Amino acid sequence: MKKITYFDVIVVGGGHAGAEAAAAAARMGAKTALITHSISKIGEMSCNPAIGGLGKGHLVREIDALDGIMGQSIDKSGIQFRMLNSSRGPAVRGPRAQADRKLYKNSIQKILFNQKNLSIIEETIEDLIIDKNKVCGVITHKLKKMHCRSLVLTTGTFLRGQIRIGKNSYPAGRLGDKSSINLAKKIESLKFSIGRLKTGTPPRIYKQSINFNDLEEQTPDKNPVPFSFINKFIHIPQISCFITHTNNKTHKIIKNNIHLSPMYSGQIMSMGARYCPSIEDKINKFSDKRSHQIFLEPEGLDNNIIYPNGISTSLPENIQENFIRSIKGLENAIIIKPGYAIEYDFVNPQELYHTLETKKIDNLFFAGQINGTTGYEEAAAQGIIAGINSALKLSNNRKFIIDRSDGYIGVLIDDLVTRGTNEPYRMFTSRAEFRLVLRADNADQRLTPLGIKTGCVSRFRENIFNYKINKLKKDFSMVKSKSISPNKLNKLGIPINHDGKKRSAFELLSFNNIGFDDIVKIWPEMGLIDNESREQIIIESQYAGYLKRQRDDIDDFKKDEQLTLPNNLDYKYVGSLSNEIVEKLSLIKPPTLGAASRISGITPAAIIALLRHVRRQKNNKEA
Amino acid sequence: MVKKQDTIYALSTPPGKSAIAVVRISGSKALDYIKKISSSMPTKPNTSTLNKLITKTGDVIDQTITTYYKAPKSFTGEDMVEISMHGGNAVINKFIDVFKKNKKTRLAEPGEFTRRSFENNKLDLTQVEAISDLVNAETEYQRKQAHSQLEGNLTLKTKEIYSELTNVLANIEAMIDFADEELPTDLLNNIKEQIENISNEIYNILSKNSKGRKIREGFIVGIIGKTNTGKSSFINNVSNQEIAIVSNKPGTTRDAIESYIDIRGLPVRFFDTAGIRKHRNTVEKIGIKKSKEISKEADLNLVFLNKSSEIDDFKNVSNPIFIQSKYDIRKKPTTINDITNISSKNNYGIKSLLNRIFHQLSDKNFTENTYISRERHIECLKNTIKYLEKSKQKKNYDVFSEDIRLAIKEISKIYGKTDIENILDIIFSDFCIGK
Repeated sequence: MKKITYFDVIVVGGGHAGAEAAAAAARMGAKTALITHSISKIGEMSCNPAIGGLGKGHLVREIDALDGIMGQSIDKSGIQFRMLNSSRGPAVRGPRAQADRKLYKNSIQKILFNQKNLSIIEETIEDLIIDKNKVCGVITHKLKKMHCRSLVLTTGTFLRGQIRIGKNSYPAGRLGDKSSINLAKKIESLKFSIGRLKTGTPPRIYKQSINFNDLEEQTPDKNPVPFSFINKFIHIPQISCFITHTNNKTHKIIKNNIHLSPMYSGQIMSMGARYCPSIEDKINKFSDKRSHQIFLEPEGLDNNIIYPNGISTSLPENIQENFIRSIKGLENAIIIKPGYAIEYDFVNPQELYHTLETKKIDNLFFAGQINGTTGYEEAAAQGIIAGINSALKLSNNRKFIIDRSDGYIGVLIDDLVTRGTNEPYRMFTSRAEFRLVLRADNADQRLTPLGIKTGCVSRFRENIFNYKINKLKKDFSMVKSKSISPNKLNKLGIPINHDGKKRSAFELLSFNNIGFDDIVKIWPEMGLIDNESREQIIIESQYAGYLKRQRDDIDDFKKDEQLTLPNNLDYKYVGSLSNEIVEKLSLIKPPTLGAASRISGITPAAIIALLRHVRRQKNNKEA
Repeated sequence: MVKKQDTIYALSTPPGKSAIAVVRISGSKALDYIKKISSSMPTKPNTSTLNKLITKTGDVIDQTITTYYKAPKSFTGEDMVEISMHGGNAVINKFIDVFKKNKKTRLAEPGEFTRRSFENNKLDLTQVEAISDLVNAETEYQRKQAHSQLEGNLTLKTKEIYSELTNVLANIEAMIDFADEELPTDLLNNIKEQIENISNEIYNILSKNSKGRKIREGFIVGIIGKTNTGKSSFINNVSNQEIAIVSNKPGTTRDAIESYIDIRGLPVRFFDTAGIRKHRNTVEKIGIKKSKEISKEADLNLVFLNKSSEIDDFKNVSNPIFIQSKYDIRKKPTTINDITNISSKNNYGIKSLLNRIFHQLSDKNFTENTYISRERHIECLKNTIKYLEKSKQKKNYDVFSEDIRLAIKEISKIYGKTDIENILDIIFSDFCIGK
């Protein structure tokens, strides 16, 4: 008799979504398998060697708050930490770090190999075992059956991936890796609505062939701030990046050869991201711009490859070399790997619930680029949510959903499943309507308690978190309890209006001319408050008015989110809804009135009709 | 199981005897039901037929003109039937009786047709308001204003400001989310300039459009002066000459006699404070206090004098027109500047005084479109301005953008809501973004 292999959770794919999903499911206590076609490539950075950035940095912090592995790994491999937007306000600060590709991958692999409950298997998946709209296993290339309770697919760009360089075109998931055609066919046969997206990557350049002498240098932050809340310091040496620019000559070469780019010759019809355009697009669409900047990013400390960020291209290799050599510092550049465009299948994310389980097939989860996103951080964020929920399937149907007022992860998933996407979706801080509250600096305060409750946070982190929260509470109550009159303040040499109003240390910090040092002068015991607490106290004090309003808005938002719409609601009978809106709502099945209001094309009037309907239902039930 | 939205009906013309009465029926069952009691129902949408309504027992209710509108091309956006019948009480009652027996339909609640029209996206909020104004319009200027709002002019104007603000927000967001990109160096200055321009635009609308509200609710003209100066006679004269407006507009109740009059299309409310003493026999002090309150609020004050020397007693009155009445018995006109001579007895000077009131109330920019007419609109615009002013203070980008976001939320309350995708669309079409 054939031996049957069983896992609680099987994760297919070893990219950033798969790694986070497998780690999370295993932390939840599920017997988990991560299946990848190549163990050595787990945690590979297929595109640019960096983690974080604006909006993305928030995601990494939030993943970390749920005890994910991305933050810890970049802290062990970051070679240029920079806090972006540091002068533009705490809410929009974005931690970012250049990574040493190899160190990063090693760190991810080390964590996964040491993770309890997790088996890592090198195999290719050819088919899914599905019984009555419920997934119950996979069939591998070696025609082995593996059974599972839930399955997480994180196939990245491998679903019918097609690489294009100039006129050349061949199937591949990534340069040098085969694409998954059978799996794509299977997903299609399950009647998922499938679209096609495009992304691209620049050529890689041999470091020794670049002349850095006259290039603008971008230095790392003096005091690198770690991503992970459990780390206090960064121990990796920090190095610089360099900036150069395209010029007239570059633009001319590209313009003259634009017909050779598959995007302009009509070969590529799929949609690419507007915020990550190829150099061909930049020059064509913004022809009045004389020059575009290029960041020359090292791929590692002892690595000879430079990633020229800003010139992703799919022109033929010889043209790539031509235009690159027209750029300052790159006159003698040697290309190690050419840039290319890749097209791949994605599933319309409106096919998913907020847990990332598919609506069509029970216990089947999708995470990462398969859902139409781009970026390691976006992928990892979905991975951790899919991983947690796939493990929760073992228990009593609990769900783990982060909503838009809890974090960027909530914004990301809600955007995807309620609105769908027609270009690779990337996180921006402007997507978060509660941005002032959802800061990178307080991601742990927002999410770690939710993670502890659901069981995805280790005891180690829980202890660190509890210690920090208790300390914060104590410090906040200290600065709020002590107060002083204007009279006394003026005597101490701190000018303030003589309005006779006593103010607490917390209130005083909202004045522009009063800093924490002044507070310590008045109340020396507050000198004991550490920098971590100080930062939180100052932000809360200075933004008090804004934060209060936004928290009120969140209360309103939560009210709408509590108005649930039954899964089997027949929108035809709601009344006052146009056919188009009925169709949309029936397809997307928004779980709440709030989610319904965010679907594009749903009018305020339709929301009123839905609200009335929900209330009527509720009244009927109560009557 | 939940029922689809009910089919509703109502008499749409006022009750009472008239040549024609109109009944409207709206909802999915409208056509079916009328068909059942019709001799020749229109079969094509948007057509009318001469149609007899007949009960089940063969009783003819009336000969009517029946019009059929097919969803969504109807006022409510649902299937609708409109029946014009003879406007006798018995006819209407018979019809309503027959309808009552039909369990699938019910009498519409007040405003329900318009509400359905709103819910079906046929009208936006400002247009719903305009319909109510149009139905209630009693003077020419009120009609014009309501009509302009119904045409969507208010929505258009607010959407214009909304889209300008959305552009501003997009630019700020670009500076935040694409801090590493090469954005135009003068972007911040442009943003500040745009905010200044938009603020000025809103201030401009607000300053002009206290007028819009006045047209909707009526201009206030105070009648003040000492006893026996001819105030009441004047009011009586004007009320008889001009069209008195019957209905009472909602507003603050005042202890004053009010006459609501249409002067060449302008709704004007005369407040005669003199009436107080006569009616209630209270102490004079209260009367004086009241008259001060009203004169302060008034757009114009008619100050009645016994003799020209009394002018000094009323120096502090705003927007005054000084009047000496009883010209018929005085015989001698007062020649001092700024004093108008009238006689309520023989109409001397009354017409020209009313002309003067009309011109003074309708002075600046009156021919231009007035966009806002309700307290609600003014409130939204004032809040928009509040946040724009706040955004001008020195601050971090994250709260700067929040101020603009809040301003946008306020302006869009007039008709709709904000969407982040709009903002990203603008960013990507305006700047070359992406490494």
